[in-house]
Amino acid sequence: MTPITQTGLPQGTVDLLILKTLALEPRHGWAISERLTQISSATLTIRQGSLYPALHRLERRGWIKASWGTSENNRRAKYYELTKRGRARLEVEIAAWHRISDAVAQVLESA
Amino acid sequence: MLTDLIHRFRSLIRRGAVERELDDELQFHFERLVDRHVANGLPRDEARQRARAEMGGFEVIKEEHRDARGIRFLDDLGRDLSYAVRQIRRSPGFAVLAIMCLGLGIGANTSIFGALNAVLFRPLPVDDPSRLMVLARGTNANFSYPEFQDLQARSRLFSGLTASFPMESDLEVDGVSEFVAAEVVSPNYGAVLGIAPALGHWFTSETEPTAVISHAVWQSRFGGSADVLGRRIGSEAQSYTIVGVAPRGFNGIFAPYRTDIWVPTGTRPRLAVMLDSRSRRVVMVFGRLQPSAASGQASAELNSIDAQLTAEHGASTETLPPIRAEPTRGIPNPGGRRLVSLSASLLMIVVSLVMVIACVNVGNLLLVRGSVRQRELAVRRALGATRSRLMRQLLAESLVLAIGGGVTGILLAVWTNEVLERVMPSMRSTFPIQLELSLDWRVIAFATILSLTTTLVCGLLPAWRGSQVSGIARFKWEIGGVIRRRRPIGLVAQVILSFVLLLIAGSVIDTLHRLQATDPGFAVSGRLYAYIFFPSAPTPERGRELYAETLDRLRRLPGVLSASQTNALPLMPSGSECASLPGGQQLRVSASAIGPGYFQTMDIGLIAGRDFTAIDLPPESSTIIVTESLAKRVWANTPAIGERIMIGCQTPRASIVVGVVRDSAVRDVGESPQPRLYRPFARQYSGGLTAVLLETGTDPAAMVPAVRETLLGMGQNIRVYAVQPLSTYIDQSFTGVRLMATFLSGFGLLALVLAAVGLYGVMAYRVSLRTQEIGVRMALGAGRGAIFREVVWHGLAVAVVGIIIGEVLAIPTTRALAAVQAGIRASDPSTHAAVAAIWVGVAFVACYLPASRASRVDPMEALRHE
Repeated sequence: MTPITQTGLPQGTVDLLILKTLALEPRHGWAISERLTQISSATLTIRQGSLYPALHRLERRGWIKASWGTSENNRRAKYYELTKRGRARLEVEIAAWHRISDAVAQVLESA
Repeated sequence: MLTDLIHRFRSLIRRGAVERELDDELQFHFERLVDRHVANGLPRDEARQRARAEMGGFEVIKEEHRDARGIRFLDDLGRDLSYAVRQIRRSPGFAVLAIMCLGLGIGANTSIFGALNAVLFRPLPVDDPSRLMVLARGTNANFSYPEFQDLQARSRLFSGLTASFPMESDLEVDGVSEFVAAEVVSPNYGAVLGIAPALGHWFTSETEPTAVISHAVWQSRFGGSADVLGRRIGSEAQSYTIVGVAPRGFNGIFAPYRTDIWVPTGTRPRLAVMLDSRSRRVVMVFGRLQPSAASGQASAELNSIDAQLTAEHGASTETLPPIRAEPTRGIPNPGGRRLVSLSASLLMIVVSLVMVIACVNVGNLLLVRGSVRQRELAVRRALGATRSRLMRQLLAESLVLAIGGGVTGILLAVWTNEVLERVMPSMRSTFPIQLELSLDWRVIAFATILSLTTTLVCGLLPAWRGSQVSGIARFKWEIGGVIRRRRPIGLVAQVILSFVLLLIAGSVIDTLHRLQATDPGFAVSGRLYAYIFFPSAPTPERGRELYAETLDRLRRLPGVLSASQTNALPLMPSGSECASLPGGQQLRVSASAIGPGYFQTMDIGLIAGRDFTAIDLPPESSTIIVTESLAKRVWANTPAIGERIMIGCQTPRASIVVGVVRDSAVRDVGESPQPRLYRPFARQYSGGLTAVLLETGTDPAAMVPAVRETLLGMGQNIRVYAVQPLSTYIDQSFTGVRLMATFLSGFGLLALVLAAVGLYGVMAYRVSLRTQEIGVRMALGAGRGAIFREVVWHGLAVAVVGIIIGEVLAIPTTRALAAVQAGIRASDPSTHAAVAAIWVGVAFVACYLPASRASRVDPMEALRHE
């Protein structure tokens, strides 16, 4: 299946995906992009050209916070984790996403 | 939101660290990508290449980041500014010239705006000025005292209302008297206005003779000593105890005049008549709003109280606009504000024109610089700078110059203000004038905005032109290619503007001279006057006797040819009467009382009839002498002698005309003839100041000490005010025009200098560019004289064109000016010719140096400079 590149994903959706990926545990940028590809069975890929701007944007909004740590292969890496506000935001975004996708589905199913 | 700002701030101030972090993060990602490719079987080098290709250039990502971080604008600006400063430092001559031009223009504008600010915008220096309101009906801010008392009693939305009656009065300290502006105020004045005295306190009672003096008086008459409280001073025949000193910077509400003494309303029995009358509107009313009230509500409340009062006391004869409560701003009295703001606005226009001239100069300088730097700009263009980037760079240079000019301008304005402040006390017309000119935030904001606007105005065209380089072509260094045959529009505009300004200055100077030469209708030279008053004369009769005795003594002084008296000198406000005209209307006529021999002493010609004699003195007599214009007005063709006319506004009485005299100036020198009537002093006098007039054979100034001594020798607590030659008095009435003339001349000269500098600059540049061409021509046989003449002719042509257009523009300008400032007429041709000659001369001087440099070009040297 050809991966849908990030140009197909609106900015809000990218934010949503990143927040969800961080819901369980803190990760660094590389791990986030890997995990996303993994879980979506390679359908969704985020290039780092939009990943890192997105991460920094989310950090500026106060939904995730960053700290430097040591990675699995003993290198210095910047880890991101959800803040309390980020968690709340995630819930809101998920609910919104479901509402929209249900609505789209309804339109498509009507004749 | 907050976190956003924190991040932006952090990006700004710890830019290095933030950039490094981003670097590290991307580097980490890159390495993992490489590892992945290696794990998939690629050799390391290829893996790196692959990864690099996939990630794209780091810089691009970082650029996007910087954009995303949103501080790119500031980033670039900072870089542009520091580059601009470096560039400008490399040509200090240019920088100094540009900054001086801008500084002079901005400084002049800031100074005048400071004056405008003091007149229109600046609130009084009181506590919480936004809550202090002045009450006004339309443009009239006067109320009657009983009205004020009712408003004060019935209003709920004001925490306090106070009334002030500004008046001309006198101040006597240790036997020396002078005229001052005084305010007679309700006792809560200090509290309502919110002024903390520098020393002592405000009034506690309405009737106790206590006074507050101004800071200036405290310094000048009491030497600023701390024991001034409790000292006694005199004013209008009353003795007062000083209980307070007003703070520095508070000049009362009589601006631009400075109030020197405040007294409570109950201490002036002679004012009682005016203060008790509901129909005499003589006080200004101020009020402090309750914290919860708004000015609109307050106005409404006042109007409803006003309606109640009308119901109770009957409507007044005139229809009045509704009462409005407004925050006090600038000069509190609308009449005074209108007067001064007119002149200040005129000066503002003049000074803006000077700014335009300065901007054209700097603009030209920048254009020149732009064309000289073509090479450098072409290189930058070739290296990839966009046109807008180059424009931003060039505008940044203009900004640096404008900032320099702005700072210089503000410093100049501060210095000018200090000079003005020192000069102002000597500018008294009748009373000291004082305006607070110190810089407040409004003035600084004005200077800043002006500087920024200047950047755009001066720098936009040069930046546009300068960034117009088209890469390759500019690498060729051609002789003629760099000079664009630009029409010298800017130069001509400068000449026009400075010419017009000089012409305006010339007109006002003309007007001043004309005023000074105008015959006021009475003799001025060889005359002396003194204002005197006997405060302790128990009856008007006794007063008359004292005056008669004074005159006798003065007549006996050697050198005094004649002496007389009047209750109002010409040009001073005198009383007025209503004369009933045949048609039934009433004419307001100024009226004064004169002693015997007045017309001789003043050399006012008697046209018909006779002067007053002893038979006119008894109170039953109702004889008057009228001026020519009044006679013509009432009895156009018949002789006025013996005619009856009803005089009196409230209760007209029949008066008989016994004499007709020539017209003389009543309010201003040079006005059209005003009707006036005279009555005998002995019959009219009911107390008050008197002016004695002396005709002296010798220089009147030399007689002043002797006269003063004689007057003081009368004793009886005599108050002696000004003792001066009459010529000084007349001169003082021209103070306003003289001030205008001074300012306009100053600015006119400034404009001239700036324009001349501009002319010089452009001529010098032209010559330097054409050096090779001149060299060639000289090698081919052209004489030095011819070259010299050509350059000068070039410059003079610009000047002449400018002068011609300026002349054409001057006609509507002087007409507009005459409408604004009384007495200005189009100046006579000699002034025009003089200004034109000055400009041609200046143009010649400006061209001389470049022309002589051109004529001294060595052909060999010039041709060698390829």
